[in-house]
Amino acid sequence: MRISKLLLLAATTAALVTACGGDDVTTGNEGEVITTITLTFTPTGGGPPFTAVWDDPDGDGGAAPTIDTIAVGAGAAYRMTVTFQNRLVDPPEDITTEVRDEGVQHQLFFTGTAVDGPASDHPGAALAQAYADADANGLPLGLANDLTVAPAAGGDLTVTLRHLPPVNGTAVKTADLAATVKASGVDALPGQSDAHVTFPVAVAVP
Amino acid sequence: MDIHAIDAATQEGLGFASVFVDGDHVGETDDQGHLTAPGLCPGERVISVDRDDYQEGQRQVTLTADRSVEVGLAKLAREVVIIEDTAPPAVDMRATTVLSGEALDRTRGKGLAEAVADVPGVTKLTSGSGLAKPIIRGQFGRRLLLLVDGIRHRSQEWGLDHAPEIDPFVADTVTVVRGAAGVQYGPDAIGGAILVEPAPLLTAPGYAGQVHLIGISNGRGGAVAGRLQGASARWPGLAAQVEGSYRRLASPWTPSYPLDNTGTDEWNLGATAGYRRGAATYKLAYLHYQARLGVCSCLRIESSEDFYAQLARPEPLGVELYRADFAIDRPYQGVGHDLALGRAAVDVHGLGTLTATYAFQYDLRREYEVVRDATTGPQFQFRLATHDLDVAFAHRLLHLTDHLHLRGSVGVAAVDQVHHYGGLPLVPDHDAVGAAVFASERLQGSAFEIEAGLRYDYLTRTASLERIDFLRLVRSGQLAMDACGGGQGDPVACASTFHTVSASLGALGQLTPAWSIKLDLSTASRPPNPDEQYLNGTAPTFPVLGLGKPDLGAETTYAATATTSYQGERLTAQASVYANRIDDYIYFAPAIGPDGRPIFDVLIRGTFPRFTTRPIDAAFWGADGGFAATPLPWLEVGAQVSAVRAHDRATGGALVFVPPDRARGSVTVRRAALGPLTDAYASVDLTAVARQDRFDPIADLAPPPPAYALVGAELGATVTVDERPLKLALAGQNLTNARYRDYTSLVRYFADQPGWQLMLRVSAQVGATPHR
Repeated sequence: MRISKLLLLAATTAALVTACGGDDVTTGNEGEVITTITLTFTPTGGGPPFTAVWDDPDGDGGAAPTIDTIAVGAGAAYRMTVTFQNRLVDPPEDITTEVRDEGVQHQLFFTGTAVDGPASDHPGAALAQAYADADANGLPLGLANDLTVAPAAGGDLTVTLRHLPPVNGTAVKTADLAATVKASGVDALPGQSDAHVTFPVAVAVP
Repeated sequence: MDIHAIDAATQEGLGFASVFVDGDHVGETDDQGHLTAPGLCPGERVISVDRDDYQEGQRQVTLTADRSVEVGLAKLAREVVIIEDTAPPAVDMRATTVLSGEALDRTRGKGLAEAVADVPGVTKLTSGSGLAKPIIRGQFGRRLLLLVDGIRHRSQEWGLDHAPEIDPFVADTVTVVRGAAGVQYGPDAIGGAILVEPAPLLTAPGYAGQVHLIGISNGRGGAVAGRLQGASARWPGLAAQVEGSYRRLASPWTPSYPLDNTGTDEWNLGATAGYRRGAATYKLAYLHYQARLGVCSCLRIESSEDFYAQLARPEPLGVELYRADFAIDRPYQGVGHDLALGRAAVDVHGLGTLTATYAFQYDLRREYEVVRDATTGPQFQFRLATHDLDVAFAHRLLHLTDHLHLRGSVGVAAVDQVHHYGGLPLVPDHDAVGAAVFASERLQGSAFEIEAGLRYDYLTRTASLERIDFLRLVRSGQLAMDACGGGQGDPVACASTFHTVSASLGALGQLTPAWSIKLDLSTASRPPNPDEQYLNGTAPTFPVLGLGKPDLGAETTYAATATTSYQGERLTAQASVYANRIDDYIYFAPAIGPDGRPIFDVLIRGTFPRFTTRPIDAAFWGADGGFAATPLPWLEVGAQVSAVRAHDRATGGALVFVPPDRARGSVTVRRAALGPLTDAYASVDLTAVARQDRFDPIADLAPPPPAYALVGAELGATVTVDERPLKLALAGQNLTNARYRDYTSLVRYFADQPGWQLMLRVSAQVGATPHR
């Protein structure tokens, strides 16, 4: 009899505890997953734009990603814009705006054997890249870029979205980051990579 | 008639006391203080109980058939402290170490894992200054049980960076059991168990309290902890206590830079009420743990490229911006744990004691990653609610002959658990129901004891996989499309059922009054955890893609341990050797392709090595032990060593996170009185840790760090203020400011361990002297 009373009391206590601690409205699902990166190439001399997509719609694990080849023509010039999406949710969530809004903590870097640019030390490579946008502090962001295609062999283009949150209140996004990457690679950067993907590049020489 | 001899102050049973009825010796009490004296004629009798170190206790009673009488004895004032004057629990057949009294006091201010890390055979797995879990003989996490007040700690023990949510200040004693202990504590106690026993409630009317104040120089900060106990004079048998602690530590410095963002902010509260009447005791307790634990900014685990590049750097990238401050920014963990328990122990007609315990635990773990400012919540949230019910009957000591006694217990246990997970794809929700039945008997002779135990556990668990996660498991080849009842619905329910048996056979021989040997043969089986079955995503602590194995079965250990102990006046020593064969050991290691090379997967954040959980046949063996000698009354010398070896029996390959060999030595000088000080001591200790030369370069991701040696020292004394003892101690760690990294620390890939540290401890007691 005493035991059963005691257990009842314990169960009541437990129920109270559950009520206090368990009524969370947060699901904890506050991830910031990126599954899809789209490069849109708009010819500056006019003509229809085309895209190259790196897509892993089921996220890490599961099916391997599908990766388009970037097919460009030598001598052409493009405005290349980059967008990021999370396709794990329905409808897909656009992450690009967040990156732009927090541009002072983000920068994109373009590297690889097919790239000659501020972050890539491959002189004479097929794609000459230059930043065509800036964050609120006037530092390059990289969501928009100018590309000119040289008559060279293809190779690969690696897009890195680096999140550069301040460390103890000091900004770590500085003017020379692209040069750092050029000299020592992406892993010499502060912060962390939110995306780091590689596209094959094919150049058609007319 | 049942006679129960107790210490009048502590109300604890007095074993081995002589009992007289009307002056005739009728026998001695057993180790619990009980004696059954049959065949006494009804009427007025004088019961007297005598033990050398107590004043004789007498009671006049009117005897009836079922009368039970309790006789309280007052301890003799002239007696100095006697080691273990209360009824000792049955000796564990495994190698055990008990931390209490001064040994436990010396760990005050440290976390639980750190507090037990000086026990031979025990080390710790760390992932930050406040994030550590114990390793016993190479086993940790899910293969190690932590019990608080006899209740199994239910939490997210699987993650390498999930430290146990237990306030070490709660402990009055901490017992470390090294070796498989499935029968006593549950089937997954494959590596051993750590028992945290809270302070017993006061039994004599009055009050008592204690306060600990701790200041720390590196990881600047401190802790305050207190406990107030009282027992009612108006309602005899009613007692209560409240306790609490608060710990706030800044990030510590390594010898050359701070470990940025590794601060600790932790508080605990507990309340206990108890009532005892005759042989029956009742207890209600509630404990809450809450902590915010910073994760080092130095961890670069978001991409394997960053991770491997960091391995080549002597110090973390961007270290010039690191600070040793109190701020805890992302990444950090916010963890809360509630434990509520009710326990009743009643005497059943003199046949034995029936104990029923119900416990509810709620573990809420939230992990906050570095994210864009637009995201404010946690990235991982785990909610685990567990109900445990244990009912055990310990029969009274049966006297087979004058020198042969049988003690034992049988019991049942039930568990009901619900897990809710929210966040980045990692592990599923689950519901689990389990039941167990166990029995254990011990035959005690004058110079030997034999114990045999058997336990059966049943566990059924249903994991609820979001459909999208189920399909991902199918796509990565971990699950067949027709698995889990055809994979219908959302979420998809995947059920697993496990039947496991644990058994043990132990023997103890007392070769001389001081020297004993123990042998233990045990088997235990551990069902897989849900993460081992369904993990699918980048692992939270390493830049690897982790894939579980849904059809895993239980792993089974067959363990043999031999321990010899010597308890002399000037020497205490213990040495233990062991061998464990573990079949279907669930191991998380790199996936190797058909070409014999590791498999890599292309993810959005780069290329990651693939790790999978899979059963392997493993073997662990080793030895540990130590001694403490008092060659002169003022001098103490101690040393201990531990070594563990582990390999995959099929390939001979080394297993990860097996601690390297270590040895520790200490010299203590004592003075009973030194001016106004009493019990003064000064000690110096040296800890030497070898390099782990047996490692798997692929699974370990990097070669193990070099060997190191650390020097520590401690000064302590008691001053008496207003007739109350005030204990003071100043302890130093890593006094040579050695730069080192620990093989069993996740931080070792990125940064050094903390440099030199001083800790000041002040402990005060108020009210009646606590029983000890």
